[in-house]
Amino acid sequence: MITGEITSFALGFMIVSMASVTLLVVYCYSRILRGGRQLDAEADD
Amino acid sequence: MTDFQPRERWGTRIGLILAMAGNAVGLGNFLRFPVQAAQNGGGTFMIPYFVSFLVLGIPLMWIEWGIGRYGGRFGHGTVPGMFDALTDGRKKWAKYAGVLGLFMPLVVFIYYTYVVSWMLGFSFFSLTGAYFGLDDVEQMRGFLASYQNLFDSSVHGGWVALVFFLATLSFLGWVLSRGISGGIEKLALIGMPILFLFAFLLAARVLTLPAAEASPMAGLNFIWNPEWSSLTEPRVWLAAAGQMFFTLSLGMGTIHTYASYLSERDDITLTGLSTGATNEFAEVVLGGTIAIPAAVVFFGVEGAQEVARGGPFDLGIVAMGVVFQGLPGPELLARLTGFLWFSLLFIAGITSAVAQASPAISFLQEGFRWRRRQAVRALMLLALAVGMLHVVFYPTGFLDEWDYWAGTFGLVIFAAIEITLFSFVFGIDRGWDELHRGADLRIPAIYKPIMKWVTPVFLYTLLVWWGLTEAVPQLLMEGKDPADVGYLWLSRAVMMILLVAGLVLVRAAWRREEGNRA
Repeated sequence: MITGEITSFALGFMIVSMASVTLLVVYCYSRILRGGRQLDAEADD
Repeated sequence: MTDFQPRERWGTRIGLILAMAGNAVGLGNFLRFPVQAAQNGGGTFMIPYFVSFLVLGIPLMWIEWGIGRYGGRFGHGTVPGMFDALTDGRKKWAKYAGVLGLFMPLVVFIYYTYVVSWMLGFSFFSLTGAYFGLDDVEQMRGFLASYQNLFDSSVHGGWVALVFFLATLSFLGWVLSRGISGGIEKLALIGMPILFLFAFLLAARVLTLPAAEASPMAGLNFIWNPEWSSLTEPRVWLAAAGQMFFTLSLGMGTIHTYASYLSERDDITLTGLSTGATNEFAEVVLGGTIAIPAAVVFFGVEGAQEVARGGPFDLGIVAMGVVFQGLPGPELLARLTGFLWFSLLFIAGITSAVAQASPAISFLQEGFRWRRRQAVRALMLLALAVGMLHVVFYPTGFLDEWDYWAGTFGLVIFAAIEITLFSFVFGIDRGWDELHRGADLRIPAIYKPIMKWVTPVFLYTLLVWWGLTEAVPQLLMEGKDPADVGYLWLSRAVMMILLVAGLVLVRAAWRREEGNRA
């Protein structure tokens, strides 16, 4: 069980840090999915 | 080199992102990051860490993607040709400076593959329960030390580590010989989701552990509790910057080679940012939630501190080996949990190792017209022959010497050279346009001065600081056991031979190409 042995500062840092990278991942992948663009299949160089 | 040769291509965008993320996500995400965070101010480490991500990691990553795709347009899959292209062929030294982008991934590939093979070994030992019963740190250390020492048969026969090394090399050779899309991309498409699944399962298991010496929350507190005074310490900022190199696989030449298999119309800004974000998620969210909190639960905060001081392998193999034996529930479940952990590390390692092998393969293919299978076979034989030195001499610090010069200090040297070439020789205006060719994401304008001034200053500072505080003592072998000094010189000599061979081969490849043109 998770028990309370973490300071509010530590908890805050952890949540903000994890939320930041999670939001960045969501932002990137949602833009990729929305754009629907694949790699250039016509490339011949 | 060869202009406009048909080159291999990535099959899908998600495959490319996962392969690049696989290159970045390695042992460091799960072992090095939590140790660094815990040793450098806990929660406050994340401030310089994120600053480093924004002004060092992200810009350098975009630059490496840009250099790689630009070089690929001229048929260059490796850094010597790319640096030559950046200078429009006008600076002869550029291609020789680029040898670092061949030499370092090769050197790292050789010793990293040996380390990754330990994870395969310990996955096997977890399933068979070979270390179950060795339920304190000293006994587990003895188990690991015997594995790592060819001549210590107190637990393992000397051949055991060799068998797993051969198995890992054979698997890597098989993947690499299947090509970019058919081998590396498929490995990433299968391996990365499994890696994330295993990491989520392990994080959930750690967070639901019953308190023993301490609770899992105390473990998270150990990593994240801020020590404000550490913010003013230069070493904390430099540790954060250093971690950025390891975690994003910057300054090595691997991103360049992967990016060279893109078309000039393919996006690199959003795709590059996505791989960086994926890596950060694996590191910050998952990497910080498994090993250290688990160690705190079983050893308490002071015990975990001692483990963290012992380095990543004390944490990842020794301490975690003890942790798995103490898990509540049936032993079979504990063994499976151990298997998940070491398999996770093995997958993280092999997806990075295939990237480290790629520059050498690409160079042999493009510089000397070797077939891919032929190049892979040659590389694997070299890795086996030279890797045997690591197997035999590991206890003398032979591997650590390579890890420092090629896997740590060399990265900063290489990055300093490449950013100077990109921002000042190629030109930041030209570079900026190059990055935005086919872009799905407009890079914020603030990054232009960051790439030109802030990142180089950050890098040169890191170079000088590390040079003075670490490289000089390392060079002088301060604190080394006199009995090991001869082996360390041998270690350096082998590295020098590889470096000189790289220079000679680059010269030969250019001469060959000039001969063909004539």
